[in-house]
Amino acid sequence: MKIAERIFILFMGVFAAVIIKECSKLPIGSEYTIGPGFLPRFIAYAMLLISIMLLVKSFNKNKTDGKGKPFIVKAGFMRLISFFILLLLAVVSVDFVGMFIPLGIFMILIFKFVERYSWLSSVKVSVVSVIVFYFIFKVWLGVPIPGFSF
Amino acid sequence: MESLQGLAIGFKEIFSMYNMLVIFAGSMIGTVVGALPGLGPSAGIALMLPLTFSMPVNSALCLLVGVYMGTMYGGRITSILINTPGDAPAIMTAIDGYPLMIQGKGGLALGISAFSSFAGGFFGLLVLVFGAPVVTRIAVNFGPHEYFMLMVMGLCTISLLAGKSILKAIFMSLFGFLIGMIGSDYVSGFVRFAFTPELIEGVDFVAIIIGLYGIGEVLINIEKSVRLDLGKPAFKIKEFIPTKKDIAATSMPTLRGSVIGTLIGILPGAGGTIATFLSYAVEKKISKHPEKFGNGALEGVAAPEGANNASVPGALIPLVTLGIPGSGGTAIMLGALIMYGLRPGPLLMVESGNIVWAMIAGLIIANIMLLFSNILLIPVFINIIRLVQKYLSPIVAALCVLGAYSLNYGLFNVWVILVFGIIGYFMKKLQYPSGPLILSVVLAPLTENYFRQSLMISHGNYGAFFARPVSLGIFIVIVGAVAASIISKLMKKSKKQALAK
Amino acid sequence: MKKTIMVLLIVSLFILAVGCSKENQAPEQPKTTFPERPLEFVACYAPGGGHDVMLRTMAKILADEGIVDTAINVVNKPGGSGAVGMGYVNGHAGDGHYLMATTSSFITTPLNSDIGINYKDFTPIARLGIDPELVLVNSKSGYQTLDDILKSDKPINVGGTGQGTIEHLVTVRLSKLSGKKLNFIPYQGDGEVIAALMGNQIDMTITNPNTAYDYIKSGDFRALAISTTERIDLMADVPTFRELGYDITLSLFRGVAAPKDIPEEAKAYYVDIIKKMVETETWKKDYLEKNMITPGYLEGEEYAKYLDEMNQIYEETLRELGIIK
Repeated sequence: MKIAERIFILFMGVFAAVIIKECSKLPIGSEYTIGPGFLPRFIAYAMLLISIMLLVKSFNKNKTDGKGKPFIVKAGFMRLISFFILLLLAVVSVDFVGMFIPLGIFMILIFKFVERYSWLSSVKVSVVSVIVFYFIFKVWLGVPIPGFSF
Repeated sequence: MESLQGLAIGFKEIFSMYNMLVIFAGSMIGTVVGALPGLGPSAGIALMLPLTFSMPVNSALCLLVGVYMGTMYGGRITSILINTPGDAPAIMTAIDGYPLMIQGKGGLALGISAFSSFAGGFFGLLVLVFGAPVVTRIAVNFGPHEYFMLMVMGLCTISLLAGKSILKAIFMSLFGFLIGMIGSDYVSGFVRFAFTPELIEGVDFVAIIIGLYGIGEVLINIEKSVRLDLGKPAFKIKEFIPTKKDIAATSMPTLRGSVIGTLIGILPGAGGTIATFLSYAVEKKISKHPEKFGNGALEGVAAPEGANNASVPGALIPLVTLGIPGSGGTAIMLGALIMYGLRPGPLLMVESGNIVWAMIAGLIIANIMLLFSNILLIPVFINIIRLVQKYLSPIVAALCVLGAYSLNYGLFNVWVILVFGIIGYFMKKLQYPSGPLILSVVLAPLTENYFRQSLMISHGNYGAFFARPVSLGIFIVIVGAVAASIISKLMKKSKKQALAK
Repeated sequence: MKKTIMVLLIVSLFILAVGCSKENQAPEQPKTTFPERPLEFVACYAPGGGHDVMLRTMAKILADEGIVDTAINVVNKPGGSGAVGMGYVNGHAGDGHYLMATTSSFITTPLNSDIGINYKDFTPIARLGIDPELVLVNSKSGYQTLDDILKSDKPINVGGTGQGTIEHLVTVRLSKLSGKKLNFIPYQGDGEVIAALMGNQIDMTITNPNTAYDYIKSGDFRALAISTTERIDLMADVPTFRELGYDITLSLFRGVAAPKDIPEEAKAYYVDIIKKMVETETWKKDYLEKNMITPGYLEGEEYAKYLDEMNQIYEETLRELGIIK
């Protein structure tokens, strides 16, 4: 639990540091008021400060919450990571095959291999969902979503 | 009196079977569009526009106001059903609505919120009909100083959404502030932190909401293999028609929410968002059982919904009196009015008063129809979710991707929801509150800009914030509220100590 | 084992699908006749925006009047104040089937941010019209002429839409030419500026005729000067800056551009159809009059020269203001 929290805080701290660096291009003041660089700089420093405080706290806090309790169990992690990677793959392939086919394949794979349903119900639910989405978004609302334009 | 005459003319103009059907269709379409994540009033109206060109002007406007009103009712549906608010004002509804859904009382939450939406909408319409000229005169005299104070008031509600650790809440709202500042800054002319060209226009907060709540929730459910268990599809009226007791318990919160929504929600920009946050905060403060909030308090669903819908007709006031849109949805309405050959502006009421009154009459009818259609639709929505409850996570993820794409017709927002999905997942697991983050994203640019505009107008004089009566008044309210909450906390502490002795 | 095979099968399906669609997109061989497939008009803003309205009106007139018999698709590539659309069109360099709407963001976005391309990376086709700038005051204020404001002792707050915009540039020029300090307050969008002037939050504003017209007609606001070279028909009683002794002729422009390095044939084709289009009655009625745009047709090279000029003015002013280095 604590390691995950530290990673999260570090990530946020790095974000604040990047913003501080970018702020050097922006003036702090202007004629009558604060410039575009003032508030982001001030806030990014405050955020960096709090991230350090939170980090320190995560080291010396009492054992009350989460100590010993793992952030994530292995099975959960596998489910999570395969879900996310498949979703990423689906989004990446949108540029080549449109949106509906990858999303459909994504759903089938999750149903089958992550949620462990039978092939039949996986395919059935995915195909019906994709068709419903297709009709709502593309046919009915006319949103120019890539894929199946006929 | 004049208003009533106008309204009578308006009703006469639109009263036909065809128009009633059009309003009904519009409100149903609006409900569904509003329920889809990523699609709100602007998208709904924009997508319906081409359909209206072959219609008479009155019918076309009926369709559009039906859709507009409908999206406001629809926004709460995904908040409650799948914990994915479609817009910033709907976030508050999710906080208590989704826990109710998990407890199997989703139908009740939808029913209560439909009543609150109706009541809020009714309140807002009263103001639109009778108070439009007065409101316009007041609103026009609101300058950046007053708006800045209002934004500060909105930001103060962060402390109420903080959860256990105030430090974490501040951390998240600082993060939100930085996110909100990304993009081109019209006050200074600089472009800030645009790491890719798409960021020049900033990060769309609706995409952030979809990521944090929608994708974040899905990731948690996938990891833990959580599946909703709501039983088999069924049609029990008892489930979704609130009992007398429930209505009695939520009538005062709804009323308070409606008043707050009418007062604050009609201000342009983030009025609706601030109103929902404030009304939730008020209910939590004065409630006898504040610990229930966040775990399925009916008041926590009723008050923000009342506030949200009360702000809807209010946003139309500057549009009909001055031709100035007060929100994204009304901006598209403005475009529609121009396409129908009307010229929105100070002369709109003089030159085409009948059409404006017809539009207002359409809103009133739409509000009534929406109450009934939304109650009738509850079993449909609940049963759709029941039908796919075992399969929900990937379907919601796919819906979020489609919704994010529809925001700006591009993949950029899909990447945004994926990034914020991961952030949301960590925030949920590590108990970092998401309310302060979103509120800051929405309010940060407005707060900063109003602050700078104020100082520019008063040539760098900070005293102007306290020299203008309205801005001073809001400041006193803020100080008073903060002082009151500190005192009440101290009192509770000393009482506890006294008891301990 | 069975599962592994299934996974492999599905992955290969993915790859196959990707591969197939790639093949379809293979570049076509250049032929002699232009256009050889439907034209694509690219709006750099969302549906309903200025770009979108102009291109859709153009597409409709070009088809209805029989000027073009090829199909025309209007696509929206919104994002990044035009940067996304510009990047998209630039990605089709050398292909004449793309035509992009251009407004001032065509020049300002590349200046303000580091997007790697600028107006020189496109082939200017024509300027179709201009949106002049007006000086507007509240009728309840005492100001009757431009000089009333510029000679008043009081500090003057001027409202406009954002720093570095054409409204800001006009204010800066006016301040420089008259020697009166004008305090520019940036607002977001015309609506906010109008509301601020209504409520006397600001003393004057610089805005377009389209925004101002109704308020002038209703007697709420008074127009004191316009940035065209000659008075316009719509507001014949409003003097130009030049008449009043201030040499300011800055306007927003609306035009079209194609990707760079397109064949001469394609360029000639566009110039020809657009020239025909601007001469039609429907163009005047459905676009210029409806959107209150002042005609200002410039062709090819002239338009390119105009863009150079605008770029120079913007760059100089933005540098003076410290917005760019």
